[in-house]
Amino acid sequence: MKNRLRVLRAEENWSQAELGMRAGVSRQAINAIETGKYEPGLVLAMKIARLFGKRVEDVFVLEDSD
Amino acid sequence: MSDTPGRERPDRSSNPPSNLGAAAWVAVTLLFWIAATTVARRVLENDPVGLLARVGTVAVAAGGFIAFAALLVRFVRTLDEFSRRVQLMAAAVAFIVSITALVAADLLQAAHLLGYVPLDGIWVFMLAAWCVSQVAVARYYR
Repeated sequence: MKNRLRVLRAEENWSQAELGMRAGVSRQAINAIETGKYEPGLVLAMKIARLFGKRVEDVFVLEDSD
Repeated sequence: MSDTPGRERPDRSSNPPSNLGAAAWVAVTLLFWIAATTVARRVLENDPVGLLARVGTVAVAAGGFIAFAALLVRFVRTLDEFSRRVQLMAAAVAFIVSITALVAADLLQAAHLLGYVPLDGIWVFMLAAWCVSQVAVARYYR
């Protein structure tokens, strides 16, 4: 699963720590999601999408290989 | 209900709760467990005569571990989902490492390549494996 977290975060000029704080998770969690090492659960994915004013599928993209 | 949700700007006062208090309690119970186990070993080495004294000593030491484990579980439950994943993976890695080491030690003893391994060394090894696993898993996700 790919995600547009880094791009969206850059558009908002938010640091990983700031996004993590807003989403209620650690900076390490945001970093792991951005690097694709960790796929968030549904609740966290929806929280993050809501923070950017997007739908979940606009932030997280399911790939054919998933 | 709109397909695209409105942008949410939570205020900064809604920070995730600090886990320091829970972590401190875990550390305190860990120290208590180690102290209780050490004292229990010393007491039992002196061969207390009464059955009740021996059973009670073991129960205090084992109770220290149960308190530590219970508070550790409570602490993990306060973490965010990513940190819980790290803890889960660290526990899994530590379990596999510990079992592998135990089986290897058993076979090495059978092959007369390893001497007596005290039981109290095993839980110290498991504790160390758990700590190292946490560092390794955290580094993997970095």
